[in-house]
Amino acid sequence: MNVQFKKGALELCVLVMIASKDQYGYELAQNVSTKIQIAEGTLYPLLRRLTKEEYLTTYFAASTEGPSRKYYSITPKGKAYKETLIQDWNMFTSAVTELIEEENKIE
Amino acid sequence: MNKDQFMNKLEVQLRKLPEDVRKELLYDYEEHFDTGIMKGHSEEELANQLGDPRRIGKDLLAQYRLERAQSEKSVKHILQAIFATMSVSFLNLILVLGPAIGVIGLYIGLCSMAIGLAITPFLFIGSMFLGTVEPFFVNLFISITLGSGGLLMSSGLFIVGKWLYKLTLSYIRFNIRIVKGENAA
Repeated sequence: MNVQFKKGALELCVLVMIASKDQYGYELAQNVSTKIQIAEGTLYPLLRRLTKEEYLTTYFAASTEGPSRKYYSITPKGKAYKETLIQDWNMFTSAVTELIEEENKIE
Repeated sequence: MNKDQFMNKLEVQLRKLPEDVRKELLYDYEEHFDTGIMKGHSEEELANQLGDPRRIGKDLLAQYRLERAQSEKSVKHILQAIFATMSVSFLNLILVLGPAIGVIGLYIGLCSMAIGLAITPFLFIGSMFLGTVEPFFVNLFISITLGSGGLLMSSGLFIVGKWLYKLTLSYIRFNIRIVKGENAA
């Protein structure tokens, strides 16, 4: 998949996934990489930035298997931001789809 | 590459950061390895999926520097942010360093010209003592004209300087967005 597409979409994917369920870093990396091929290490700078911008908060919780883990949870501000991103995404993708279909008709 | 090698390479990139920040940043990767190992993956496999630790470290460093430059405004922080941003990619080196050298060079050039012009009346007075000011009135008027021109230019450049400082700030912010974009992939 094109790198430019991934850059813009990763932030949205992360917000959507955390909004559906609080997750810890490793879990999130696994969930993202089943769908999109990324260097998983780049997720942490992104998570850190989203936390700094108050779209996410973190808390520590014990795991059944071992030491406690850092969980990420979405804030109300993050939810609002996610909605804006989804709108932008839908507008953008439908415009591109429309354009491709029109081109196909002409051909 | 095993866990220790990955963590060492990452730590080297972050060595300039305060200890508590560095520990906080490294913690995420420690946890990632520990969880992955517990789930039955090998250290090599996990390191491979994480990607290049040098690249990750540079991204983290640049992000930290930019956060500092935005929250605590100072020339030192801005310079650190510029250098950290430049080290992330060659593209940023061109984007940041090229215009910076050009604009600052031009500004310094204009400032020295204004100072040169502004001191001509003093040169005239100095020359009077050496007895080389003939024709007297022509040289007097020329030096006064050049001197006042220099003063006008100086006050103009003072305003331009303030404006240039603001412009630099927004240009760095623009570059922050570029770096953030790169962080996300």
